[in-house]
Order: sequence, then C-alpha cells, then structure tokens
Amino acid sequence: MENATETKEMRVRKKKMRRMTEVQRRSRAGFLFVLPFTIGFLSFYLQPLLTSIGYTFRNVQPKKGGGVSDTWIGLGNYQWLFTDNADYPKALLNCFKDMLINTPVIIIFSLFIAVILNQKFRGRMFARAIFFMPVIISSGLVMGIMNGDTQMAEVQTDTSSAIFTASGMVEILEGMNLPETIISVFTSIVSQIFDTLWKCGIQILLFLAALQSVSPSLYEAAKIEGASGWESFWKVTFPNVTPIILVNVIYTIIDTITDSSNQLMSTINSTAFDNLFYSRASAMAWIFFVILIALIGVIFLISRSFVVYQSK
Amino acid sequence: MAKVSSKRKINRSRGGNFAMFLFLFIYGMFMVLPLYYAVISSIKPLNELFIFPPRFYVTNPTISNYTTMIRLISESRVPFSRYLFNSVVVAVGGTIGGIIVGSLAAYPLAKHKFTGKSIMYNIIVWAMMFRGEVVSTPQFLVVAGLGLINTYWCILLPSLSGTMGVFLMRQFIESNIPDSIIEAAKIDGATEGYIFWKIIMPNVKPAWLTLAIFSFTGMWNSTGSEYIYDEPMKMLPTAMNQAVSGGISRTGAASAVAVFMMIPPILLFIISQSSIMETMSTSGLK
Repeated sequence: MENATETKEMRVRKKKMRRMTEVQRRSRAGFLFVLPFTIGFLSFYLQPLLTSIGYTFRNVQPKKGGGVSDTWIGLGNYQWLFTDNADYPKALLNCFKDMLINTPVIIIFSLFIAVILNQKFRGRMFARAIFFMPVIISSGLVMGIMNGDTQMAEVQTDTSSAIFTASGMVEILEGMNLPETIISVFTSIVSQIFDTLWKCGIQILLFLAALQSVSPSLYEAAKIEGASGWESFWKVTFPNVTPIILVNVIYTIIDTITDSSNQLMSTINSTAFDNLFYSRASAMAWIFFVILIALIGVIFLISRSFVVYQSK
Repeated sequence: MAKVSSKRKINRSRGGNFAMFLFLFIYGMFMVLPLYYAVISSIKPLNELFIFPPRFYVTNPTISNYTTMIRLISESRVPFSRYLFNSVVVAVGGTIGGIIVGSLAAYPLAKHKFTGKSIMYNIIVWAMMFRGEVVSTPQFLVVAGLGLINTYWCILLPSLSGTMGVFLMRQFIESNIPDSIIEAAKIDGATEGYIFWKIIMPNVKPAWLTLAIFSFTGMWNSTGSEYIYDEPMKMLPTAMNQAVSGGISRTGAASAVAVFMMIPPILLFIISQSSIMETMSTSGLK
C-alpha cells in the first residue's frame, strides 16, 4: 500500500518534471534557433560597428614605413567635417533630398508593376524575367564592364533626354503656372527615370511574393460581396501587402542611400581609401547613420497605424 | 485561383488590356535595352564595336569574342574549372546557408516571446543601414584574426550573418503565419524543429525562394578581393576580370564575359519563379 502511494507521488512528480522540461525545451529551442545568426552578427557586424565608433574620436592613420598611428583627438573629426570640409554637408543634404523624392516613386511604381505581373496573361514568366533583369545586371562584374563601356552610358542618357525633350514636358508644366519647386522635382524625377526604374527590381519581386501570399478565398469573398476590382484592390490586396510595403520602404531608403555611386558614399570612400583619413570617414558615416536611424524610427512609428498583420 | 483570375479577365475592357500591354511593353523596353545592347556587343566584330554613335544591330555577327574569352581563360595558370568551382561553392553554400540561418533566427523573432526580442530586432534593422565600406576595415581585422583569409569562409561567414534575410523572413512569417496554426501544432505535440521545418518553411516558400534569388545573385558576383590573394582560391568574377582587362582590344571579350556571367542568376530566377507558382496553387493555408 505504502509502495503504491509512493509510486503515485513519483508519477505526479515525474509528470511535473516533464512539463518543466517541456517549457525549458521550448525556450532552449528558440534560443538555439537565434544562436547561429547572433554569433555571426555579433562578430562580423556589431563588433566592427562598435570599433568604428571608437575610430571617430581618434586619429587612425597608416604611418610611413608601416604600422598605424593612433591618437585620441576627441571631437576633432566632427569639428573638421562641418567647418573645414565643404563637400560633406552638401553631399549629406543632397543625398537625403534625392532619397525623399525617389522612395515614393519607386514604391508606387513597383507595387503597380507587381500587381500587373501578378495577373494571368500569356508570357507572364517572360515579362517577370525582364523586370528582374536590372537586379542581375546592376550587381558586380556585369555593371563594372558596362560602366567601363562609355557608349553604353551615352545610350542611356540619350534615351532619357530624348524622351524629355520630345514630350515638351517642361513647356507644358510652365504653361500650367506651377511653382518652380514642383517643376524642378518633376524634371529631376523624369531625368533620372532610367536610374529610378532600374532600382525597382527587388521591390517588384518582394511585392510579387507578398501578392502571391494573399489567399484567393479573400478575393472570392470580396467578389461575392459585390466588390469591384478597384475596391478589392484597396480592401483586400492593399491591407495584405502593407507589411511588405514597410519592408520595401526601408529597403529602398537604405539601398538608395548606401548606393556606392552616390555623392555621399563616394565622399566617404575617397576620404577613407584615397586620402586614408579613416577616422574622418568613420565620423561621416556615423553622422549619416544617426540621421537615418531617426528617419527609420519615424517610419516605424507611422507604420504602426496602417500595417496589418495577419496574426492579430 | 484560376477561376477568380479568369473572371477578372472578362471584367476588364479590351481597351484596358491594351493600355496595360502597352505600358508593360514600354517599361520592358527600358529594362531590356541595356541587356540587349550587351548581348549585341558580344557578337559584334571588333570594327563594329567602335562605330560611333553605337548601333543597335550587328551586320556581321561573329562568335570570335566568345572564342577569345575561352582562349584567355584557358591560358591562365589555374584551370577555369577551379574558379568556377570556387564561385559555385560560395554562391550555393551562401544562399542555402543564409536562408537557413536567417529563417531560423526570424521564426523566434516573429512568433516567440523572450527577453531582449525587441532590442535584438531593432539592432538588426539598424545594422542594415550600416553596411558598406566603413565597417570593412574592422571587419577585415575580425576575418584576419579568425584566420579565415584565403578560405571560402571569409566570404561565407559574413554573408551568413547578413541582416536583410532575417528582416525579410521575419516580416513574412509575422504577416503570413497565423498564431493559431502554431498553437494547434504545439497542442498536437510538435517540437519546435518540426514546426519550423514542416509548418513555417513550406508556408513562406515564396519568401525564401525570392530571398534565394537575391542572395545567389549577390554571392555569384562576389569577388572577395579584400580577403583572397591566393590564385587558386580566387572567385570567378575576379578571374574573369583579370582575363579580359587587357585594354581596348579586349572590349569584345569583356562583353562576352558580361553575358556569360548573367546566365546562372537568370536561370535560377526562372526556376524559382515557376516553382513559386506551383506552391501557391497547392498550399492549403488560410
């Protein structure tokens, strides 16, 4: 009898233990899932990032005849940026201005294209491949070779400017008595249309992946309720792609601003690698980084009110 | 799905269809023009390559640029297959590894509750903005300190810990997988590993197939020239660039190389996009 109660107690205890380890096992699993990424991230990104903050307060320069000289100069690098350097503040301003114009254009455009490409028509696969082409071309060696080809650049600028003059757009805009700033924004969009459209490839693909994840039953339900195509776009498609709109906005901002061909990045690059003012370049990067964080923070705050998550 | 789209198609007017086609066509021309030009250049003989203004057609097509390319490559001390092997290892390994590592991290970030989750997520988003040249010197010190110079790992390891993949996968998992399906699986006694492989990953297939395309394109084009000095360990883009950078007489061969390097990413794109179609018509979620 005594033996029996003991085994019962033991069984209860065992059950409790199993439940405990179950919970522990789950949290351990979650931890293990994040672990490989975390290790890599800490060692290859976060640690270098923190090291580069340190550089901004010091003067790190290669010495003649080998070795590195490293002296503490406090805020000297930052002071230099805004007092003795004419290029940097201007480049910073232009870069953010371009980004503010380009991002909405790219997002609207790529969503539009993705919606069209998501429909069924003959040659859809081919059409998609065409729109993805710039991503393949603009990375790495291919672009390097084509940039070296001056004729190629000639073809691109000629085409954009031909479109521009042929349509007589400026005259029309001026005839409409629009303010100067609107005309200049508009003309800058049109004159950069090649570059801008070329940057849409990844955004189009992300939107396509999002559109394909929208359940067909939602469209069917909308149809039964008598929604028109226009209504079902705004009531079904749009809310379902809002998380990816957020991804794309952030991706686009980062992609345009850290594009190595823009003025800001080339200023940073030449400071670091041509003139070997490594700490000054780090300071430049950190200032723009802080501004960008603030901007992205604002975007996240705004996004809270309109991004729809399926799970909630 | 087919039913819905076919109905929608009837709804649209013929004029609308035509406008859509016209728009796609014009925009598509923009996209394809440089590619077309690259292909055309690669089959132009030398005397046609330097005609100004450049022509969009070729009068005497030739494959001599491609034969020059092959000759230049086979003349190198290290066999071409070795460079190809290096690039394939890095591109395939980096793509598959990157998707697995990124998704593994994205799943708890999207669906679990643990301390430090939001801090970690924020750091990931911030770190995306700080890629590029400025971290490259400290990053080099880390890679060198770990003794990874002249190995595949010097390209693979930093790319495995890239933040874009985690951010993207987290966003897709968060928005596409209902909590209820995970709850149901847990009640049925599924382990976390099972949930991840059998529930999460199949249902976000469009997301990771898309990620595979970018990641492969990036890795295929990576040169690793900061870290690799050993000739047999060099990547294909570096080798190709070395082979054709012989001044103006190599212009034709350079266009041939450009066309050649574009082929694998385009193939992968076509394969993955057509399998995205298949999954969407068969998946039963939602």
